[in-house]
Amino acid sequence: MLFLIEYDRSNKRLITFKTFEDAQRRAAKDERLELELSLNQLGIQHEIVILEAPTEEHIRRTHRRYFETLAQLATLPLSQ
Amino acid sequence: MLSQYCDSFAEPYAEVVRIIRKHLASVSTGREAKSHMSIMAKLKRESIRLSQIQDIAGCRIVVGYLSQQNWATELLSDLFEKITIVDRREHPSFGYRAVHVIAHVQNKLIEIQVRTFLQQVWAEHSEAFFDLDPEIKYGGGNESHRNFLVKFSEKTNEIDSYLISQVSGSNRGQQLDALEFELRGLIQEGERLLRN
Repeated sequence: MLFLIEYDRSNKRLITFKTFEDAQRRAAKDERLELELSLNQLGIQHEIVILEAPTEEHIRRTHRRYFETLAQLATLPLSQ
Repeated sequence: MLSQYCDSFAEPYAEVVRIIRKHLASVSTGREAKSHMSIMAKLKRESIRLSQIQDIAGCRIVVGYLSQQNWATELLSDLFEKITIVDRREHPSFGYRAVHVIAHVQNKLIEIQVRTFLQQVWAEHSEAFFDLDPEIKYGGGNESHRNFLVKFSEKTNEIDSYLISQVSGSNRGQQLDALEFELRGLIQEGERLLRN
């Protein structure tokens, strides 16, 4: 699966989170480019990325900062 | 033209993902290509050529322990004919610890980041500091923030090393609790620094 992510780093906010099937790769890339261009025109600096993973759960494990606050990131399951 | 260049990574990237999924128990997440804006920012920041960027396409694997990180690195070394290993554990880059296996596939470089869970925790936290002060990522910026990230990284490394040590029994649990307590204290210190 593909995940189009738009993230506002200054305010630590996930703005866009859109899911695409693997077969929709072209559509995901086109949408990313369109988003980049429109934000660039408006002078808005957001992080935009397409990530790929078998499921959303995997993205939430390897890219926690898009989804969790700093306090949540501090959860350390060391003793589990 | 940049779009075409990025698209040329699609096949080698897919090949790397296919190999990782087939041979490693760990599941990777990845990025077939950096965004155009990120690429342009990197070219400007580092005064390099497009072909020199090693992380246009890449994957990330997060494992539990240093021993698993070693195992994954060795396995990846065997799976790809030509690789470059950048081990940032002994000599971290401003606190950043990880192993990067750069696979040379179909004349393209695909970066595979192998991190332990705690190296990942550090990386996620450090991003909050980079947002505040991007120079920190390259050794500049606020000194107290820089020192904090190095201290935080050393603590995660201490815990990672302890987790694979041979110590057993009730001592182990107590020591782990103590280390976790210290790490939580550091995380709170980081939050305070970010607020000030």
